[in-house]
Amino acid sequence: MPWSRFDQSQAAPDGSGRILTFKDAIREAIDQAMINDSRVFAIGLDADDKFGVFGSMFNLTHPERVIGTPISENAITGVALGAALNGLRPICIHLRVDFMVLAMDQIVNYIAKWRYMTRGQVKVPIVLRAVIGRGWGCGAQHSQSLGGFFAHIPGLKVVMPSNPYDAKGLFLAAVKDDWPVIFIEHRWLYKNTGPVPEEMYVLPLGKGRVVLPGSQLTVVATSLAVVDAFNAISGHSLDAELIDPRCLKPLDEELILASVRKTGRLLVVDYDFPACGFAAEVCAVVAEKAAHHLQRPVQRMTFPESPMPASGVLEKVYYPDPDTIAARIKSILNET
Amino acid sequence: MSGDTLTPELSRRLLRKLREIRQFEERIISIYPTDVMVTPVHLHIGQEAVPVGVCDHLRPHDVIFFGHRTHGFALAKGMAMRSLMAELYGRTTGCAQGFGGSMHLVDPANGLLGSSALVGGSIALGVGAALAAKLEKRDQWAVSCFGDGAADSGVFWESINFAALKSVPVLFVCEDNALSNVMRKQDHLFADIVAVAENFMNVWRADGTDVLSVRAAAGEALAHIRASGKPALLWCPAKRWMKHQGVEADNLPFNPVDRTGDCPIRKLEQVMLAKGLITQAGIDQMTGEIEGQIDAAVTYARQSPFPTPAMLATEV
Repeated sequence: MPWSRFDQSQAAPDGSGRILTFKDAIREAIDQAMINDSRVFAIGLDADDKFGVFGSMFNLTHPERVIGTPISENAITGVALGAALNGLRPICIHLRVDFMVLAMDQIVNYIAKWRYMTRGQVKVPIVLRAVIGRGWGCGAQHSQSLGGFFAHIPGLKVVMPSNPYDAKGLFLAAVKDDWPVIFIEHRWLYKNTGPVPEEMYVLPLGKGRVVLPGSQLTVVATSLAVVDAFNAISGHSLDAELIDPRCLKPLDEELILASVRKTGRLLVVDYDFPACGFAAEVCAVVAEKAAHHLQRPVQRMTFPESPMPASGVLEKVYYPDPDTIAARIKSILNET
Repeated sequence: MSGDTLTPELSRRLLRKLREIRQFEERIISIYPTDVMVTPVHLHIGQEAVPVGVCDHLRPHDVIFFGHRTHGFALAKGMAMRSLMAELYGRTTGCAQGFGGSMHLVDPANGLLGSSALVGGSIALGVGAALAAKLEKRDQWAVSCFGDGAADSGVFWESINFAALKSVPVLFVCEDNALSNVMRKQDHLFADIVAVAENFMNVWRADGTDVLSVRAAAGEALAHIRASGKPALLWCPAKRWMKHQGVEADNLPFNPVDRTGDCPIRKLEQVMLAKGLITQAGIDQMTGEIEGQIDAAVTYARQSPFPTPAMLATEV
């Protein structure tokens, strides 16, 4: 069992001195997963292009296990599932999450339900890479996040890494997992750098981390929002505790609840649509399990209840950023 | 494979499977009104030759995917009757412990890796299973079965295009009963399935009411896949005797059923009787043995426990 040696310790090695970009951390995870286990293969539009998938598939050791496909998202996702059911461990790549919506039949009706319907007699070890992005006038069909959309469906795990170290460890954990995992990568993180150990390591799916300690307010954020919230809090020296759950599902509820019990205030920064979304879910968890610790009502910062505009003037209004996050945190802290 | 002599052993094996499916489903018809099977059923009666003719070539580790009309394929591929019956009864001894029902059958030991009731999507799963076999250089067949209704879906075109482009060694089987629920084919599909598929791969045609025809054509198609490494499609026009769902006979005016001329069992029995491969007494004995098997399956299902609420949110 090639993945069993990672079972002993879920503790990742310390970041050595080596610095890698977020994109290269994912590339390295894919390469090492394919070297480690011949059942791992990659499939998707542009997957086999030398500079494809924003450079994350560059110069892999096993190009014979990288399959470029026509733009047939639904069938290709089904092909990946069929291969997973028949013993392989596919990495199915969707260049933009907006296109992944064409595969919702396979994702919602098949992939998410297969283990349940078969009582686990058949495992579903599949990773679905969903690239998200925004800005540059990309508009309504190239700027969505949809993390909460997938997390709504029982049977799917949803991962949203915010830094290179987490990206590699979580990606390898996703490939190792015998459950379907949606791995959501924000393009704006691809060039960010950070320490990444060269050896293989896995981070547990469902364990978040405290990014910044604080005492007056709990800020929960994922993916790019972690970076923006970090800059907001540290840039303005605000007394807020920043939590990166890393996974929308399974959700590290205890980490969030423990923080809220301490701070008495909650702000969720979620770069996604608001209604029935991840921010709403975190607020609901806190309301159900720690309401008596709250000194103020819970708050959300999300996209507006609207698709994305193209014009840069409107984009600036549409998307939260470190400045608007800092302003919101200050207003919450000033309420007391 | 097509040139196989019709030996007593082969003909009896095929007849046995045809009769098992028919008699099993006839038992469903008699039990269903008592409301002990609370699951929608899509009966295979009249179309048994397709699963039996195809699956006769398959070994336990060969995999097959199909749609909502599940029972015929499952029994033809080797699922135990009691495992299927208990699933229809919603018991924990069913193939999916009562979590699947008629439409979601699973039996990994017999190459049944799960089944889906949503029309079309499972076509891609067979392609993926064949891709896995190719990448790992396994000696393993993968088969995608679907009806003419599924050919309306985008995933059908996406799947045959991908399989042809990438030389995925999958056998597509179109069980064409010329019906999509209650629509006749000319009302739901503009073009001829075979004519279109022939642009992508070699196509074999068989009589879907004749198990010997299906078996022979499936054998040729599989031999082609093995020799060429390319996909193939087997087209089997068949007759649906029952309504799309439920246990009533179909009564659509444009679906006249000749229960004598279109009966796969009768066709094979006539050949066997004429060639002296079986006697009427032999047929009667086989029929009785199968009834005994079904009796045992019903008893097994009825005596099995129901799932408990504690099982509800597991495997999720």
